[in-house]
Amino acid sequence: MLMKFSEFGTRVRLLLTDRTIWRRTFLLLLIASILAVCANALRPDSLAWVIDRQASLNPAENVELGQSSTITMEKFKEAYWNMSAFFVDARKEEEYQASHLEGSINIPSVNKEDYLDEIFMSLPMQETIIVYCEGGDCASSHEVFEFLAENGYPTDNLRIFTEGFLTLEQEGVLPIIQAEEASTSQGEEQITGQEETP
Amino acid sequence: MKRWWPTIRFLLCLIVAGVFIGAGVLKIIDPEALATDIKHYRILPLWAVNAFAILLPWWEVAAALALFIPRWRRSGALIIGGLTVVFTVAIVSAMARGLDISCGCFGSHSTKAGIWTLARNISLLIAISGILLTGQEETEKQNTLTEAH
Repeated sequence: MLMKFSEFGTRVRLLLTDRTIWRRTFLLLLIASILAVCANALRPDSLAWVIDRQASLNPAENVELGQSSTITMEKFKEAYWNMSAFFVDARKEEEYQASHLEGSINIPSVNKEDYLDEIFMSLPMQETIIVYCEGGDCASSHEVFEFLAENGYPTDNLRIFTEGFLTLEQEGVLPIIQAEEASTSQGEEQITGQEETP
Repeated sequence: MKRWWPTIRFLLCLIVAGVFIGAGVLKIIDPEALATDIKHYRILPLWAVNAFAILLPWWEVAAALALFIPRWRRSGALIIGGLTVVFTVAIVSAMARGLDISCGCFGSHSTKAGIWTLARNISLLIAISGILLTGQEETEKQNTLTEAH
């Protein structure tokens, strides 16, 4: 052992009780903070210290705040079975190909710009569009949401399904298409999880 | 082994300082990208995001530079250690919530917050502990000498 346990404890105690260290730590933070304030004030692209919620929030951030743009699993399923919305999967292309919701459209957030033609062809502006990514509050769906809004899709028609694809897959009530490893090359796919029918 | 400690400690300082100076400078270059990355973690309230994005990179750089000044070394290591603990907790929290986000560790050159960023932070924490908990005798000697003068 490099250091005995008791010696380790003594060293930690010495560190925590050394006033000089804490004084210098505070001073160091203070100096760095002053430099940060000066540098931010001097740079041409300086950042505002506090975000103006009203002026600067984009649609994706409205979602973060839990306002009107998110939908629940129940609403998601309802929209799916009633065919009252379009479904956009914002995950990476390879993830989408491995498994995806039947009827969904893939717009990977990483190269969404390349999908602009497909977006305009497949997604009518007047329809509800539900965007999701893998799960939790992943950023990809927010980025695609913002991208659609920037390209003229009314934010009133855009929704984010925050529970994501992993929840859909776990629930297994909507048809998930999974590419079988053996048959991927032949373009065959296997549909799983169809407990309900539209 | 003890006689090798100053060399090992210097190497640890060099590695840790290199990582934090690099990370800090990249963040200083693009504070807006850092603010976006911080926002994606959804830990800080929105009003605190920009302030943190402005201050954090300078804390990193100042603390990393302090590692090369013997009397300030442990103060620098304390700040870097504290920040690394905060970053680690944030990454664990993001992973637990299934967030698909950039870790924001190196500005626009960051990788996804995940197991590798977590492993890197834990390695850094071990290195920082080495810096913090060794060489106390030397620092005390220096402090005593300064006070005597």
